[in-house]
Amino acid sequence: MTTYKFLPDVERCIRCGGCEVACKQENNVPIGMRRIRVVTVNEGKTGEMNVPMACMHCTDPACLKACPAKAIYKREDGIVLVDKDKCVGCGYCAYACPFGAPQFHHGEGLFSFKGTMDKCTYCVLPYEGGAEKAPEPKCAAFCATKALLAGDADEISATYRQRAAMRLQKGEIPGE
Amino acid sequence: MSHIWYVLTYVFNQLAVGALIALVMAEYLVKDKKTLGSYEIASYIPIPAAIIGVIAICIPVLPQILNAYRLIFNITSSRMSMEVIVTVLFIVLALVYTLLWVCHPEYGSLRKKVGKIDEIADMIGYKNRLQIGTMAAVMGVALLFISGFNYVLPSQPVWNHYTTPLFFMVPALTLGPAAMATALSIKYKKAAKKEQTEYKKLLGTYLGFAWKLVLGATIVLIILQLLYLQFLQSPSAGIAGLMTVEQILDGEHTTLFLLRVATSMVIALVLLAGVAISLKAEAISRAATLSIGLFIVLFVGELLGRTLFFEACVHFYEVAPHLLL
Repeated sequence: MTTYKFLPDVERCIRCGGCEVACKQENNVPIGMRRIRVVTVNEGKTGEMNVPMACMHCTDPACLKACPAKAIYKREDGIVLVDKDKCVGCGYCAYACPFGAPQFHHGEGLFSFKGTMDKCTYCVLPYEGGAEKAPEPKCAAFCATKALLAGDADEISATYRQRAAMRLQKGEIPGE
Repeated sequence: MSHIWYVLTYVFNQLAVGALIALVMAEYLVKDKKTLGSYEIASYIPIPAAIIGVIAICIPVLPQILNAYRLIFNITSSRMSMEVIVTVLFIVLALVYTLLWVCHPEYGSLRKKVGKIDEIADMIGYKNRLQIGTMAAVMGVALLFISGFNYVLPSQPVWNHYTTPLFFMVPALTLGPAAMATALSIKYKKAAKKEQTEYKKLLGTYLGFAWKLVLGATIVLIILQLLYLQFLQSPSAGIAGLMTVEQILDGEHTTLFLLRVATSMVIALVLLAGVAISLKAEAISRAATLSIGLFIVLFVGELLGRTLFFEACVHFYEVAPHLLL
């Protein structure tokens, strides 16, 4: 059984933002919301590192456990989705998720409603919903340096291990 | 600003629970029926406060309000579901308890005034009031505990500490008795000023009791604040804790933190000292005025405290990539 996962290879990410653009275009994600974002650590300093962060489609999702409305569910192939018709918009999943994956329309006004939660769907569902498509995440497909690995957990971890071994063979020190 | 409705909900819940606890405690301590009847005014606090809390929490989810019934669907694993259920139970019990006060045949101010509520109250039985009040108080404590425990999450290292639920529970013991003291002060201050010994004694007794309770809770709150600041700088809170403490002590939330300390702790203690001195000098009217001021200060302080709780928190996902280094 395939279990879909993401694996960011932080040594390769150059923060071009291609993943964010590809995601927004593919899924019609509105302004102010990002299903994936690149976070830079130690910007301008030694050890600068870019980390593409999206929903990790956790094996034991904290958001799923926290959701009081049972709006979040996990497919057999490991993809975690939200049923927007069931979501109340309480925002508790956003507190429970360690990766900041659940997104809400956070406004500044007193009456700016959050709306329902949106998150990375592994490109099986666009922002507005509809019929589920095949899991082919565009963020990984469009990644220029192939820093974002997506696919079956066993396959991508094997690819990552291979890369790490090659880097060690070349004498590269991670983070340098 | 995005957390304003949550802040209002929690503060009004604290007020509702605290006022109910104060009233139940008074009922346990006061044996004289006539004196007890004078406390009826305080029974008007819990339900309106709880309803304001419910309205406030409904506002951010208004577009999906028809789906709100779904909030109780995940009681097995979601603390939010438990919170919703306990809130409903608290409100129902507090409503029954209030009804038994305001419809009481001897001193109920709504007796024979509003429709058939007297009949409902008579049916429940006034002898059961204390038991119902105790159950409501227990449910209220559970509500505040779950509200705080909601935020004790591994994904939020800054909140993942035992002080978080305590920060939701302890202020109820400052707000509640102070609110009850305010209600009594507003009602009986004039009478006490006119040297009416009966009211003077009543106010003096209650203010003396509330004073000690609020002082104790304020001291606990100060200790909790110190323990929390210490925790933020510990390895368990990690980078998120260090960033939060920096924001609180020397960053964008310093003003908010100082205002919180000034209101809930410093000014509160000064006013408590004023109440104590006035009570000792038997200046009941002055003590009553100071008690009203104390409630306002504590209420504003708690609004600031809850705002700080949400605004100053550095979430795990903001610092998670640092852990890769």
